[in-house]
Amino acid sequence: MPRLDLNASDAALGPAAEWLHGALATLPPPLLFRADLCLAEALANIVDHAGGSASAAAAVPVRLELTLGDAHVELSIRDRGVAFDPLAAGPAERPERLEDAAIGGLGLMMIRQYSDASRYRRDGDWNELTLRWQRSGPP
Amino acid sequence: MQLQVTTLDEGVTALELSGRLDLAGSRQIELSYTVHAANQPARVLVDLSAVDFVASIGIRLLLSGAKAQMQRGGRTVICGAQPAVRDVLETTGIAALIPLCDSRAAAVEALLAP
Repeated sequence: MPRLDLNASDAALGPAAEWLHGALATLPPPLLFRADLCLAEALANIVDHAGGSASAAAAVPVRLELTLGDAHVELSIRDRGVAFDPLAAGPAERPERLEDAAIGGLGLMMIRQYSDASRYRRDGDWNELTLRWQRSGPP
Repeated sequence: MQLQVTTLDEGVTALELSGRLDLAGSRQIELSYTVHAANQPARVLVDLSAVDFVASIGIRLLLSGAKAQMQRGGRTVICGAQPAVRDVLETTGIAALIPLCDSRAAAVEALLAP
């Protein structure tokens, strides 16, 4: 089971994406793209929320774990930051006009849109976000 | 992440991005992109044909540039997005705010239209 431990920081996003590409190299590119996108957004969200400040976030441990099943791929993203359920936020509103467009709020919407299933739980001191993709799911 | 800026014959400013438009990529080009996309009234063509990944931070960069350009009286068009990148732009609703064109020629035409 591929696993990666890191600390929440902007600098960790690159290595995390490289790890994911390595672990999922044999999967169809569209699935890899969606997993890559969700991981990037989930980690950015942890960096934003985990510690309440940039310096505190840097000390927050994060553990990534992939489960490669016959029918699906599952990615568990655990962080030891303050409790935060990224799936509890309401659906982001799509801006209607450029002049009205708010700059933000897209990341959580993208996690929901680009995973086939998602769940969150608080496990002791850890947040756990689990994302799943069907191997033969929607393109 | 790379950003190449050229001025086309028609007076259009072409911003050609290549690489991953993720957090690191957005930070790399942010200043230069914003200067060229938004600081002066212009007709801005954003060529994404060499971009293979776009995260929300990258979308925010594109959106804030286009919004500032519109407020200055200019115009922004995106062209050449690969299917996966185009899907992200459509899913997030950005495609409804910044016109997407398949080709550079179509983008230039859209920028020069009255």
